[in-house]
Amino acid sequence: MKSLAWIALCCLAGGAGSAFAQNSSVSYSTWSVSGNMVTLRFLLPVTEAQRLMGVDVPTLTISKLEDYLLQHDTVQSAGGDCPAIDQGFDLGRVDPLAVGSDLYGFEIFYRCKDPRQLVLRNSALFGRAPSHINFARIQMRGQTVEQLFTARHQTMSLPDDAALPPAGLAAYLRLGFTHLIGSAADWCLLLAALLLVRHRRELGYVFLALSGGYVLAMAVSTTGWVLPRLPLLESFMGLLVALLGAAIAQREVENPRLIAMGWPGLLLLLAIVAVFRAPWAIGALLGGAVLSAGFLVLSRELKDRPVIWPGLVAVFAFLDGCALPAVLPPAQLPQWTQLRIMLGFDLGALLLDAMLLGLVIGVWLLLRARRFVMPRPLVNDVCAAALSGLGTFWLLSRLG
Amino acid sequence: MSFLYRPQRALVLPALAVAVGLVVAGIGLFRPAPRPLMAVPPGYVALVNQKGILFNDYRAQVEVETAKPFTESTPAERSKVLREMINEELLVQRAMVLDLPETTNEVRTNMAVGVNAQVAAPVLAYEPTDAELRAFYDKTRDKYTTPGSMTMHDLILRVGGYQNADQTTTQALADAAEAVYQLRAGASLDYVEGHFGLSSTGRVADGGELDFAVKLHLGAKLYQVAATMRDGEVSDPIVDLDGVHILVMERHDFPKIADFTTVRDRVYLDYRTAASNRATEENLKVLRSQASILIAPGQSE
Repeated sequence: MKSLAWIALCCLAGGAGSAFAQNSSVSYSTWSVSGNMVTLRFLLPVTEAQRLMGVDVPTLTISKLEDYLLQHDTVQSAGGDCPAIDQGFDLGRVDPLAVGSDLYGFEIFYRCKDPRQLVLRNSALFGRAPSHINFARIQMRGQTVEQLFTARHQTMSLPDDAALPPAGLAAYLRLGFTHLIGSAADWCLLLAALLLVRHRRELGYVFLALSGGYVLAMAVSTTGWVLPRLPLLESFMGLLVALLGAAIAQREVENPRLIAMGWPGLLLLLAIVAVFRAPWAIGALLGGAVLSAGFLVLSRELKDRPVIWPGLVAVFAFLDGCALPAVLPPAQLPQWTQLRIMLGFDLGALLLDAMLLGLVIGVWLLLRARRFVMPRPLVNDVCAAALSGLGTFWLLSRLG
Repeated sequence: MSFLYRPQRALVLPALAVAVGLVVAGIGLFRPAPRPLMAVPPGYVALVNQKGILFNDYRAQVEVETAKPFTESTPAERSKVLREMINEELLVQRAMVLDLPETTNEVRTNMAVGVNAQVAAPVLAYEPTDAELRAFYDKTRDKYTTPGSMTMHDLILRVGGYQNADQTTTQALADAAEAVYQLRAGASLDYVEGHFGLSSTGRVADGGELDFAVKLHLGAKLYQVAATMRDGEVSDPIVDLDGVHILVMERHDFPKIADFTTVRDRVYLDYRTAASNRATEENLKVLRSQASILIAPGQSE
């Protein structure tokens, strides 16, 4: 038991680092080209800016960001570098904009000697957050085109005599891929789902549940009726990971009632604490407690039938699919573009899920051919402990 | 009731809990998205970036610009006004994005004036009765005085100056006391000036001056004495830096408090100004009570 606890703790510690990688790192830019002038409007979420600059005082953050953006956002043309011009009064070269309480906004004007062969370069934040995404809109010749700046795609050449094509579906597919690769919670969910699988056909259920969740997320997001509360959403995804961990543990322990009562009880306790510390999280925690109680009882009753846990996988995929629409509003993208981004993102994530499931099947078949028998109870125990620990950590840390 | 005894309840109740849990969590995890307005709502003439331009404002602007009733304005005139109003709205929105209220003094001043005007508007809309004005006048009566004037002479016996370099203050005081005695006894100014070596300082004009001018010319010390003197009075000798002065008052018209009927217009304006100031102060008091204000160490307001 002692060694098991150590393994679980090591997993927890390993996962803690990647827990923060889950937080989406995004910014928004609009590049307007008019003659020899290029106007850049750059928007950055306040939380992102404070994390980047390590300063809480807004004026200091703004001042540091201005210098940072001047260094990392540039325009070049056939005539060489296009300098950022002084905007008069005492503004300097970067004008801070008022764009709401949760965003910092900046405007920079670049003047080019020769407006041909324009190249936009945006390397802001990629050095500090490699998974950072900048949703860009390029306005030129009366047209607006949506593009992405990513760590791999930091420059954009604007054609002189043709329209700039918008970012293709492949770019958004990559977005989904990258998101899944960097998301520890998604990996944990897949691991939990695989541990709950008893028969080969249940892998199909996992894939179906993931597909259903992503499709539902897209459908809900397309209606535009609701917007997710992002930090709470990510916290709840941690709760689901922990719940799946509890479901796995419940299969192995002698007294499953302890888990069926303990985990919902813990969530109820958290909801009570939230009344004083995080009132906005009460609904999610209470709902999570009731959901957990029902889910664990059902899991115990139906432990050999995969009826209930794929539903939880679908809920996770739904929430994961909703995370992207939550960060899109400041980009002010047209509905069609948003749909394309979500489609690409969800397809990318789903494809990687399918590949991973395929890989697991391949490995399983290989192991079976070699007559290798896994010590399943041990694996289940360790993974259940790690999943519960990590999930709880995400649940609490993202509640703030 | 039979449900309670059925074995399926072991599944139905947890399933119900799952559903309820999902719904409750969903309510907490999502919030209603702001719905963009796709059509101009009633009462508005246009939407600019989801911000409405009121039809009433549009109507008033058309009437102001065309100098005729809205119904008589032509479609072309209305279109022109609407275009101007949309342009103005765009500029105002741009100003907000550029944070001009925080960065430009003129905008800040105008905004502060605007807020004060808005706060004062309900107070100023009220027309005070004569009784209220009279009560206000009675309370602030001192403000409604007509200025006084003086026709006087300021005589001096210089001390230690180029004219009487050897004369001491004591000697001058003795001479001045005698001169005052003579003047009060009815001696003429010319006689006293010639006999005691007094001369006019020339600070006050012979034809008379308003009180404030006398104060300015004589200085605070001499004016304090002059302000109490009545017609024909001669002051006691007054020692000042340049010598010993004697003030001779020919005519003193004291300031008078104007009666209500003659200053009613002024009282009306002052009443409104006072009401407006009170409203501004009240508003600031409320704003301060709701604000969190931190002042740097060593600073005070």
